[in-house]
Amino acid sequence: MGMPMQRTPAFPLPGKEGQWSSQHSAWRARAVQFLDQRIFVLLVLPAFLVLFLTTAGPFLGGLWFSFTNFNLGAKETQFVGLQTYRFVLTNPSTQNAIFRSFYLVFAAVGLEMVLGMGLALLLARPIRGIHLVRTAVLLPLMTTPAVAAMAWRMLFNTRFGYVNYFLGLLRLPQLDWLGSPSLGMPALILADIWATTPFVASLLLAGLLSLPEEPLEAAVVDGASAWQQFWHITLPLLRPVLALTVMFRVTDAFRKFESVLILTGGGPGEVTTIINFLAYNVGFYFLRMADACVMAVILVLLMLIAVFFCLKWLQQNEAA
Amino acid sequence: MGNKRRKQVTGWICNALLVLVLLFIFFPYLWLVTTSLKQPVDAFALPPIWIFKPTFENFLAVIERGFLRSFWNSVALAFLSTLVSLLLGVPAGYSLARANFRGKAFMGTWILLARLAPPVAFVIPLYMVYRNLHLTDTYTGLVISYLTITLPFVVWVMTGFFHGIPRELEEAARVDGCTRFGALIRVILPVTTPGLATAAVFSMAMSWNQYFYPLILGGRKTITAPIMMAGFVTFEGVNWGKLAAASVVVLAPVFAFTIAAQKGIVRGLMGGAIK
Repeated sequence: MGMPMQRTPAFPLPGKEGQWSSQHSAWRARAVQFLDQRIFVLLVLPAFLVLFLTTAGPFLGGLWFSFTNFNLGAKETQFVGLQTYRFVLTNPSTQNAIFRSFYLVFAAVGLEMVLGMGLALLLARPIRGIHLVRTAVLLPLMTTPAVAAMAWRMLFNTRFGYVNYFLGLLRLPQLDWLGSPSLGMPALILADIWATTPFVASLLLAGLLSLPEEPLEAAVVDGASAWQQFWHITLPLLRPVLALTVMFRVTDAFRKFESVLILTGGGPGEVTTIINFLAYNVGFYFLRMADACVMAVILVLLMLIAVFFCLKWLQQNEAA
Repeated sequence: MGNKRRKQVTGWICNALLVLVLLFIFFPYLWLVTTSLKQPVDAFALPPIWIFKPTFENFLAVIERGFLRSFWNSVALAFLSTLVSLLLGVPAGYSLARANFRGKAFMGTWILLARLAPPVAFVIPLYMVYRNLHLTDTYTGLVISYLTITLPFVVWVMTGFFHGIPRELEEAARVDGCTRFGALIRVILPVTTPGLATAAVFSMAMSWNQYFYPLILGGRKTITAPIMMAGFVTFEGVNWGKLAAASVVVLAPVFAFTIAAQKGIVRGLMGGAIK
């Protein structure tokens, strides 16, 4: 993200031309000049301070709690070093939750990237009314996640839900979507695909529409097949957008909350209890705040690793 | 001839696929709207009844439960957090798009990470502080927590939009004797109106859609519309009609936002990362 150097003022500042003669005006001019030179820092500082107070402050607080045995149900809080980490990380529930987080992230984001790419290619064609379709596709990505989760909960209902009704019409087996341990995660992923494939498709579509035309035209002249054009020209050119989209989707899947709470409640059993949801449960249901903070720290580390790799992928391509 | 024919067939297949995708996308909305207008008996009927006499009973019942108050809370919170986010975030976005001071990369990275971070990493200390300062169940407390989501987003969106404005514009203003701040207010902001609108709409939608913070830091006084919607599950079992009616009311403003900002949405999401 290279930025051109800040340029020197293109105009003479008041005071330098001697428009003002009095001492007062000279001070004023100097103040104006001072402010003008530092205006960029002054403009960014309020936002940054507020953001620092509301994010860095709480995060550091949570980091501190993670080294204690803080429990809202108990009276005393002590510094216990890494004891809470040891307890949480050796706990089967946590290990399961970390595994479930990765399961969700890889399966959901993987499927959404493939389906989103397909949808983007469908939306990129210049057919009549396509602008209307592109707008329609934006609706799920703005939809209140809690509402979407509730709708899917009712659609997945074993007896009265439309999902099973349509499966019945197609002579397919009707499934106990939210009650069977092997189907909890697929149900969650299906609802996630509905909610976020349009997001992926919209970003990739913007990327597709802004691609330069010359490489593709050259490939057509060389007799490349449609698949070869896509695989060897379009996809490599699209990699910055792909990296950005993957970064958004992975971090978003890690912090998924409403659909777990409302659609599956983390169940059946613990099959959809991802680490984000477990941290909430442990903290605000069982009041074991220190344990929850450890989980939050783990989650942030996972997020940082994902962001690091995506940014590297993104910048690698800018240089190339 | 064969080639042309094949292209035509491919086109038809693509259109058919697109129609299927649209059906899949619209199916939950269609279900919510029809269920909200049905009598309880019809709501559970399978095969579904497509032609029925619509009733507004569900909406009236939802309003009787005090849904409008939660709706108002959501509106107030969305406006307040958007106002603060724009006041702080627009100048910051401008600065990050234009300037080159020490620490800029750090600030930019921090804002990106804050935009991607899981709220659960902030909520426990916030909850403890709020309990001591009596900020739980207040607008102030909720707006502060919403800022952790909307402010990074507004900065992100605005940085992208400011990048797209040619530098010559403000240089011309500065030749005419404007200070940098004067140039921002008088020349840059007016041409950034679409960007401002996009940032505002996003901020509103994100505040409106919030569930996590109001669930933990909110309470009976500041209950928001999505929280109240989900509450219809626990009263007298699951009442699908009321749930659907509440959902439709929650979704209506979001749909309005989306249609109002359709052009800016994707550009806003890309932010300053890719031009």
